[in-house]
Amino acid sequence: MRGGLLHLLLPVFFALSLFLGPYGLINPFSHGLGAFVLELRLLRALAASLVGLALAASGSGLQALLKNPLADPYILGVSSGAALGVLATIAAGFIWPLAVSLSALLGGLAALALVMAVSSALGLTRTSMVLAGVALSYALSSIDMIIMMDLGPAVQGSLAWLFGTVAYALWGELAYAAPLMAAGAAWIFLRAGHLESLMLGDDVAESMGVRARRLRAEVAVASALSTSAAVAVAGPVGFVGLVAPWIARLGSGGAFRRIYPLSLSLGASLTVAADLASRFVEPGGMAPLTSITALMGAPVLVYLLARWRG
Amino acid sequence: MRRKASSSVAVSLIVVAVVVAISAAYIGHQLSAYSAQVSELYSAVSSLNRTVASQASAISSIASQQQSIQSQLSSLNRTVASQASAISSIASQQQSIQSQLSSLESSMRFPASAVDATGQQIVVYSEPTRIVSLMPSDTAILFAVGAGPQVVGVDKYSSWPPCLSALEANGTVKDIGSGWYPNPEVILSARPDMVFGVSSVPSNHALKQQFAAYGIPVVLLPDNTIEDVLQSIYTVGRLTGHTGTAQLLAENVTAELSYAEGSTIGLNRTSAALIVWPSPIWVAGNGTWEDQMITAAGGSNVFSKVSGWGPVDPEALLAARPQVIIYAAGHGQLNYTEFMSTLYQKLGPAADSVPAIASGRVYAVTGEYNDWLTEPGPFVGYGTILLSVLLHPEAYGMNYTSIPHVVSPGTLRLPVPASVPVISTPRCASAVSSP
Repeated sequence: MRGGLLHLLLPVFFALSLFLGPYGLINPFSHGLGAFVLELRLLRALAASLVGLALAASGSGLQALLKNPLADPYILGVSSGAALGVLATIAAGFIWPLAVSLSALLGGLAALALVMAVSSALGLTRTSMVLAGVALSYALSSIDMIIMMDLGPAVQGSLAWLFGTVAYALWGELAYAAPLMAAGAAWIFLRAGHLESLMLGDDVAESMGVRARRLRAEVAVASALSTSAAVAVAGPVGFVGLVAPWIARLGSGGAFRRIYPLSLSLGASLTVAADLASRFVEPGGMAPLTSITALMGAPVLVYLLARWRG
Repeated sequence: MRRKASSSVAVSLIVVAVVVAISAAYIGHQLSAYSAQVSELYSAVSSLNRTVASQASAISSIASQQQSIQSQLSSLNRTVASQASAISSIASQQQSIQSQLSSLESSMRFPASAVDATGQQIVVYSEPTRIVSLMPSDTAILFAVGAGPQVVGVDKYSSWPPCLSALEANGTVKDIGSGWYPNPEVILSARPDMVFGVSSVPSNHALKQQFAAYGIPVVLLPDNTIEDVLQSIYTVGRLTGHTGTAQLLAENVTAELSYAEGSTIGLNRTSAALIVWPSPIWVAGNGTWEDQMITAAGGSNVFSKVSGWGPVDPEALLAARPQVIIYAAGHGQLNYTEFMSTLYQKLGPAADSVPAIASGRVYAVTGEYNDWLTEPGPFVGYGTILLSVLLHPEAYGMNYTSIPHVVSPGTLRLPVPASVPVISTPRCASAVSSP
């Protein structure tokens, strides 16, 4: 297990995330306000871990499914669908956090349903699925833009969500989102064997008793489920779903079943580390999560790619 | 011879006798004179004695009088002292009564309750002393109602009252960053017992939910219309224990609005556009306090069909043909010259078909005046008076040519009569003194 040590990153970042913040160091046995800050940090760290895990699961599944190393969790239109749900909700005057979160989930799932329907009509090949997703993403994003232009000053406030953050995570959100994220990730893990045979080609897979079309549909639904739930908690956090499977692959290597758990753990560590860093990047302590995941993940990926080539 | 001798003896005896008699008579006379003198002296002495005695008695009576005066004085002193102690005891009683009254008053101010923009009933049981404000308008309302000394944190865009920067510099008030993206932990590090935000910002709602778990009330003030502003003033006053000041402030704002309305009543409405962001052009439309201010100032908003704040096509400016364009030039935005050149760049030669541009009635409102127009705070009344001057200078005996293109407290004095109340700028010293 070459990458075994990488699993240690998660507990390390998780612990740091509990200890460090603008409020300062907190005695873990403190009562009152200190305990509340600690609870908030725990909530953030948990939310970040779950979001990272879900995005990595979704990214791994999709990259394997589509045999496309550039596939990311948002390729099925989930991100722009979720954003549309949120913006429409805010434009309608509902800005309560749970309403925002649920509308993200519903928007993401609705986008997925549309992509599946279109792909199914087209015969659900790899290419048609990617294309349908991309087309829908563009269509939904254009509606997002129209709504944003009409939102007025409120657009400023919704940006916090659109750029990704776990600062406002609530236990109530995690309570319904965590099972969805876990279910999506577990579903993909259960299909890991089939995915491995699918990577050898549809014919090979079929000969091994794998129903390729059904598997594709299953994995697509599973990854969209976990992605939508992640978006509902933290907004569309980019780059994690793309980069975590790659780092796992380059850091560990081996079969999908071996890489997958490491990919989840790395996705979680990257997101927790990004949330930790976002507290210190600018004075207000609210740097967008997506910017940090990209800033931290990109150099790691490039370094690994360079080493891998050499 | 014997006879002769005896006669001589006799003669001499007679002579002696006469001499004796004469001397006796003389002595007697002398004696009686002496005795008269003595008796005279005696009577003189006795009268002297009497005088002395009477003087002595007079002196003794004076002494006794002195004594009685002294005793009276000392008794008077005692009376005064006792009265002084009585007065001081009365004063202390008064003080205790006063403190009882004020504690009674504060016990009557709290528990206080108010409903915020989300419809939540917020109840506070004692005076909040560690307030955090997320928006400049919230900060202004807090300080204007007199809750300034209770404020311990404000967002980075809050600029009024002017002493705020001093309070932030000496650590009395903490800068909590942007209220659009408030960081929960940064706010908690100010140890707040109450947080004020606005209902139009989604993240403020998220913060409210989070803090509800710990029992820190996040009060979201409505922030769309002038009625919302008045409502906010009352809510802030009630929850911070300054109901009276808040009442007064709300009445003042209403009086300022009526003054602007009264000054322009009966005049033809001036069509106007209020631009809140220069590129792309964002205007204040229907349902905003700016739209209401334009109407109250004797104008009509050419973009009243825009809902809320929204971007408009430069061409829409050509179609709307406002008589006056008011550009709220916030800190770090385009200045008047830059704004005009972007207008000309966008509209080309057609720009001059807009009456406001042709007649030079385009104003860039800057500095504190800009805050009056763009913040749903205690200065919406002043902002309306300012707008009424820009839209109807004739109502104030002015000509529009005498109004500068850059409108700021330094270039245009508001023609505000004594009847219009002044919002007192909170003094820094009183606010600074509380650590």
